[in-house]
Amino acid sequence: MTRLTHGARRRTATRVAVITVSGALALSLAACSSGRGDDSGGGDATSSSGTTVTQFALVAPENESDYGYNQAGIEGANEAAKELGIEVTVVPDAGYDNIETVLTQVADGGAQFIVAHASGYNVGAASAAAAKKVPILIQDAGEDENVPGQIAAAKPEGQEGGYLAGIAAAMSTTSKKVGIVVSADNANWFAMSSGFAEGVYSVDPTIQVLYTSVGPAAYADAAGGKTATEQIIASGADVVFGMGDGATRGYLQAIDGASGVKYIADIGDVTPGLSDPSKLLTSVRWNYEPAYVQAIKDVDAGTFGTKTYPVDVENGGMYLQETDSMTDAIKTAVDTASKGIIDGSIVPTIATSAAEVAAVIAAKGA
Amino acid sequence: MSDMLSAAFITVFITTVIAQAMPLMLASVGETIGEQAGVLNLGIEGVMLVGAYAGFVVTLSTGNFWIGMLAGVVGGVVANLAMLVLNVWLGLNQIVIGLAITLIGEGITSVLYLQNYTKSPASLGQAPKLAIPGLGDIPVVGPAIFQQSGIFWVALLIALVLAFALARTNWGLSTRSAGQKPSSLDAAGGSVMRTRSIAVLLGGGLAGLGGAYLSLITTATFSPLLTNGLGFIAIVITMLSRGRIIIVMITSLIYGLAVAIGPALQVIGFTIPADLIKMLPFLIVIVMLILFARSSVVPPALGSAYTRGAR
Repeated sequence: MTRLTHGARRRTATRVAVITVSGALALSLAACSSGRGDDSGGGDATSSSGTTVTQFALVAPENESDYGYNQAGIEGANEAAKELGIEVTVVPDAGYDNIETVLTQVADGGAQFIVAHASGYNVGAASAAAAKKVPILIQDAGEDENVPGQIAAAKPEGQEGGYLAGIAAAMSTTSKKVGIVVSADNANWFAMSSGFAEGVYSVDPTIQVLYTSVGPAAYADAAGGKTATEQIIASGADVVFGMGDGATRGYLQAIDGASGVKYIADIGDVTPGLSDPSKLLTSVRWNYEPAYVQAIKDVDAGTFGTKTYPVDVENGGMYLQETDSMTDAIKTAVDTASKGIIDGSIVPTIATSAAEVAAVIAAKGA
Repeated sequence: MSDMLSAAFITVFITTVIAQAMPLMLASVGETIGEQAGVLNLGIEGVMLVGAYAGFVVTLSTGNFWIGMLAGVVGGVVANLAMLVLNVWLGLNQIVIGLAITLIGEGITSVLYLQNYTKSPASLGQAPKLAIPGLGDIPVVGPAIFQQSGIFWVALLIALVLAFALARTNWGLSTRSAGQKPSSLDAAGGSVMRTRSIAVLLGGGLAGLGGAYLSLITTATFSPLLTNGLGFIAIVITMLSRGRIIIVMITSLIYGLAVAIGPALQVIGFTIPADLIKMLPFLIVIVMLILFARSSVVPPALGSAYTRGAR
């Protein structure tokens, strides 16, 4: 028979205590979780054919503090709910893992229509929509992804907003160097970058456009964002166009620490994140409200899933934010370009990769 | 391209290298002391995050970066108390506890940040600079190195003092004995428990300081999972450095260089895939592992709980 030393007995007793407490915790957590969600929830009962939507939900990977994509989606959902007089449930910080489960739970919670606010959600959203028969609005997908009654996409025309921002940048730079910082390989940001470069060159083809990326999916990398922005400023750029979700916090720190530099944000309003708001030249604002409102009306009419919902200059989904730094001359030039985009006389290039952005930058508007 | 390589650009590049290297260096020095005493702390990622968050919150409320750094140290020590009690005192498995500390640190800081700063995200601004007379005026290098925050110099001094102490003092000898052959330390009248306890608390404090440096100086803000794997890189660097803090410092600088060079190359005109930029620091760590792993020596008692009289 093995004899236990005093130390070994003490360790054994400790282990037993730890296992007992852990077991109790696990049981209590299981008990709590069993009360959440209801398999017979409203999702299954909701039909997309002519159902009047009284409550919908938006699921976003981060929250509104990104001053960007998530902020715009959440604001758009709240505004759409207000306009239509219906309820909205916002589910922020859902991340990117197990999204099908999250969407299913949201559907079970009674949402009659869901906005899956990230292109990374598209696959999970399609499965959830098919399983729960709840119409889901996905992001940045083509017409071929549409499934009548179940799936349709909101599609921002980022190149249009980028083009307008490029005009503002070109008319503001004094160093004749402007910079672009992106935090991920993202289709919208490639399109905005190519549009931005063409907008700059439409004013002055001699202006140098610099481009840097924080990483392939560094959406929330504030430290990396600060590093990249500091370096682009150090290379002489005095106007920086930043696209970054959470990485934007890093961009703003770099802008705050620099003098004589103007910042162009994307999608949301970054004014609260700058200690000196006058450094904000403008922001390419995305307004999802028109797209959400139309999508919900189509769910009501039973036509959801037959078309995509643009977020563009024409429907007011994409515009430049008014600031004190936007001079009358800039506003006039932007208005003229907006009309050109709407009537089709200006068609900015839609880059779909970093290489295509580099090609547009190298072409210098030729 | 050449017109991009201005003095201002090179100054910012050097500043970035240092800013990226310092958090890693401080955490690695802490991990080195712990490992030399026989305690493998896989929870360093979580400890750094706790230090980063504590420093951020305190600096935001007091406006004082020095108090914020101190809060980072305290946060790191508190986070490492779990390692002290569960491993050093109770002899539970170091790997399991370390991973638990990492997960808890990641979770608790993310939850607290999202709970408190989602609606009103805050930034800290820049820490006050300490220009060293004469040296601070040297072109390029002066602003990059000799106009750093005073916190940089204190952190550097701490690392150098600990390098000396670990190699040349009785405390250092005891610490290394606790990792090499704890029974010998015990037989010589030293306390393995006390030695390891001090090493774990010191390691926690330094990891917390590294985290606070990251949030207060390098990034000037906090975001969930800010460390982005830095703690795990610190563990690798510690193992490769074989207990020599000077090598830890040099390796940390190489890491800082790897982080800074990606955006710099893009800005000066190279079209580099974003994947490669993000991979570069980790690739360099892997290459170093391949080159030096066979010569890395870890203390024989690393990872083993010590029980007096046990065979």
